[in-house]
Amino acid sequence: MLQNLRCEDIAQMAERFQLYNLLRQYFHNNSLTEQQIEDLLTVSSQVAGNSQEMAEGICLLRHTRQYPESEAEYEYNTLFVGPGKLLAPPFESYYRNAERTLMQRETMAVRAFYTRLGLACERLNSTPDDHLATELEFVCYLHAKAGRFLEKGMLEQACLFLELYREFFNAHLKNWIAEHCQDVLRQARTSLCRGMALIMLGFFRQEELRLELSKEGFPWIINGPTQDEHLLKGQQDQLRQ
Amino acid sequence: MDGDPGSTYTRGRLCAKGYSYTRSVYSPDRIKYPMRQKGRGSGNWQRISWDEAYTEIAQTILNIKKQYGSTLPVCLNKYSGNFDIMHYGIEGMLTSIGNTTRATGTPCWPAGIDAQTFDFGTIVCNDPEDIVNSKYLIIWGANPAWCSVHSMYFVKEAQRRGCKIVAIDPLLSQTASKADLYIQIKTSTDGALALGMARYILDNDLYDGDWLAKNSKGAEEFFGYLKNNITLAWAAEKTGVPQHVIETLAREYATTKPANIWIGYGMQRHTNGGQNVRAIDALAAMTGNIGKSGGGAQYAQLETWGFNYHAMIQKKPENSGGSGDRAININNFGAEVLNAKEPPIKMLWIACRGPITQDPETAVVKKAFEAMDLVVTADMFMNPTVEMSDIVLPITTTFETPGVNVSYWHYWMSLNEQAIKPMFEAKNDVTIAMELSAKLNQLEKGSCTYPTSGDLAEWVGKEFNDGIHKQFGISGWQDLKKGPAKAKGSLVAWQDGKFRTPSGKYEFWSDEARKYGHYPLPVYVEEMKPESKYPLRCISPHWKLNIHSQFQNLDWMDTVNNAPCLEIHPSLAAKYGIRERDSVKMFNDIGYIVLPAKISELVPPDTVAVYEAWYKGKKFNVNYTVKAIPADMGKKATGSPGIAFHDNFVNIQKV
Repeated sequence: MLQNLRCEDIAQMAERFQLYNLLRQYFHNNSLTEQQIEDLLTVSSQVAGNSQEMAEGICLLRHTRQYPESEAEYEYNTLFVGPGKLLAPPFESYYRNAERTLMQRETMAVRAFYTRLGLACERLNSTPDDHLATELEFVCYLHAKAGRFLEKGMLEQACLFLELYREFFNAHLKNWIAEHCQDVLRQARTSLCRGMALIMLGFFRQEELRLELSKEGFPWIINGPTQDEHLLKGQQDQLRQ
Repeated sequence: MDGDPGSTYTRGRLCAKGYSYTRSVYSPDRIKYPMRQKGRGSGNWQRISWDEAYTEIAQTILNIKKQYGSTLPVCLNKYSGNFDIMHYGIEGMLTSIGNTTRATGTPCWPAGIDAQTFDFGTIVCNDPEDIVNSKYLIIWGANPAWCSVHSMYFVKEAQRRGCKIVAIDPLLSQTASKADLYIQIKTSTDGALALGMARYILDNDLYDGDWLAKNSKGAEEFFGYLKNNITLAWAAEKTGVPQHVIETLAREYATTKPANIWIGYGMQRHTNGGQNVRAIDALAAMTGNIGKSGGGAQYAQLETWGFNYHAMIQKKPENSGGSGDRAININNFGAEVLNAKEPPIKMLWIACRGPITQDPETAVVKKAFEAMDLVVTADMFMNPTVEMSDIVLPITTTFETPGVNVSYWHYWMSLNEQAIKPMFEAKNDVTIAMELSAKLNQLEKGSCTYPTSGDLAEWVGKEFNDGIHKQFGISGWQDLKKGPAKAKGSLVAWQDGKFRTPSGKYEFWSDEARKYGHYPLPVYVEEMKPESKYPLRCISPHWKLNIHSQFQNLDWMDTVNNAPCLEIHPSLAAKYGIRERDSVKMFNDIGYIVLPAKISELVPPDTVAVYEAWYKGKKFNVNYTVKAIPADMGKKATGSPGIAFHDNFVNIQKV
């Protein structure tokens, strides 16, 4: 029984990792290749479940096979990059701090989270730690770690990373992504930017629910999460994998 | 963010603009990366790497040089966006590629500079902290309560100690509201008031004959001019100030010692602005108030600017073509760019400036931008100038780079230590110069002489010399890490009586002025008058929450006020059927703007006021109606005459 559950969850976790990683690339590289869009469509369909938003997003994204097409690139820049006033700034502190500025308390809380795992941003103090691409990269990192431990059958360690993911999701991503996606949806016209926002919105809603339901602990863990974090000490992995 | 209590000028306080600095450094809307616009003005921006930006810029420069035989088609427009000395590195970079075209002059204050240059030899003011020693202070065409709040402490302190404060201004400004006497003068007739006062002082023997005999040249000729040409009745009629007020003002000014006049920049933005300043200077001289603590004719100073300009002074590469830089008038930038021939101008580099919001004749400036092969702008925020650029480069804020600052008013110097790493991919002007130089040399060896590496903090040190050390009583620039330093001496202008004019004296009669096409004496030059089609004067003074195009875009300022308006006297408004908040079109033959009316008795009945500013996301720009009419002076000291910003005649209609 335990073995079956683990297999299923490894598969689901891999899907989540893949989706997070594609979202990360979207926000990190300013572009997705055709292949990445294909992959995104595949993985989104797998995790979409009953999500209306994801279904709509997938539908829109099917019309965006030739990215980077210039219109979407220009729109992407007006939303997330500049040089004008950003229509949907990809920064947590913008959404969560009353000042609506960068490098605020929320940014430092994200930094502190990374530091717990011995991680630091490559462009520390230049690119805010709570840039969406970095938060997504961190989530990818947590999934990759958990996945590797699960593959090796090291359940407690895997659980630790999944708990960290839950904690990070609840403390950070959950609290601003929906509003951010709504900003995109209010302003964006291209199928790529709208499609990505819908997929992200639907996925995060679904993920929020899933994490809420599994708050008693992940099902494959018999003894519950461990408090032992000694594996993390001295971890110097950089966020970029 | 706070002021340094070590400075006795700021006394540890900032102005509203200073306090808002944090809103730019961490604004989500800052320009973060180099970007290229596909189609100038299209809003279609692509993110590019610094290397791509340098490559495109360098290739354009090298192609221009190949095609035209020199780099003269490359034009720099850089001015007062940041006067940290290190920013002169951008001029240095242009020098390093060869002969180029330079937007020359200054938009702000040239007529007044020339006026004081003819009178005194150059501009020097008393330390503004010395205002407390004044017994009589005329603030003439300046609004420090908005634009120099730190100075207001000294004004109020002087007032507390018994100094009478007089404000002369067409607008009933915030400063005027705090004065003991406010005199509303017809715009641009300040010289008539000064000459009327001078005539009264002369007639009543209230001048300082001893001082004049010892220190001046041409006083007799000036007195002759007054006797033959000036009457108080004329001055009263010209200025709209009743004769008895002029008499009282003249008597009080001449008999209260020491008496001080603060000459604002606003009153010299006229076709007779320089002459008006000369007439006011003459008042201070004839009453012997020059060279006195508590006295003087304060305009500005550049005495504390004796840096090495190490970042700026560079060698030109050999055989780079052309026989010298080409100067074009910064104050008629659009037309001069379009008119430049042999070779034409093909590329613009904009730094520390916003020509499309700040220059007169916006429509012409836009045409000039449209005619370019490449426009590069280094800036912090998207604005109308960036909108018309091909490549935008993200520039560092004050917090992200080292530098050194002095003032053209007070006598303090501050080291700016880098507090944080540059956000995103912002770079300092000097770094940009170094890296562009590396790219140019990579593409064509020897094409740029600018150093390709160097520590920025060390470069700040290289700006210092023994003269500066001595002037500020420091042993080296690192001393400034302990706090700001103030110049140790010469804080009372012209106290030594050594004027820097050709005669070495204060010159009522200036042959130098004549050389530049002016009457040698401070005479009254008729003010510009409205035509019947455009019967109203529009003045566009400084707004309290900005410096030109800066600061008003920040969220804090936006919260206080985000709406430009046309200030109009109730009687004038009634004549045009305009009520509060009505939408008004203000127009003349070069353009128009539409904005809401604000009915106010703070403006005179024949004048409307529209404060100059750039509001983020608003199409407002008063300069669509402002013609590039030169002020009378400025050519001698700054290379180009100023602009008669306040000689803008318009008509209005309710829309």
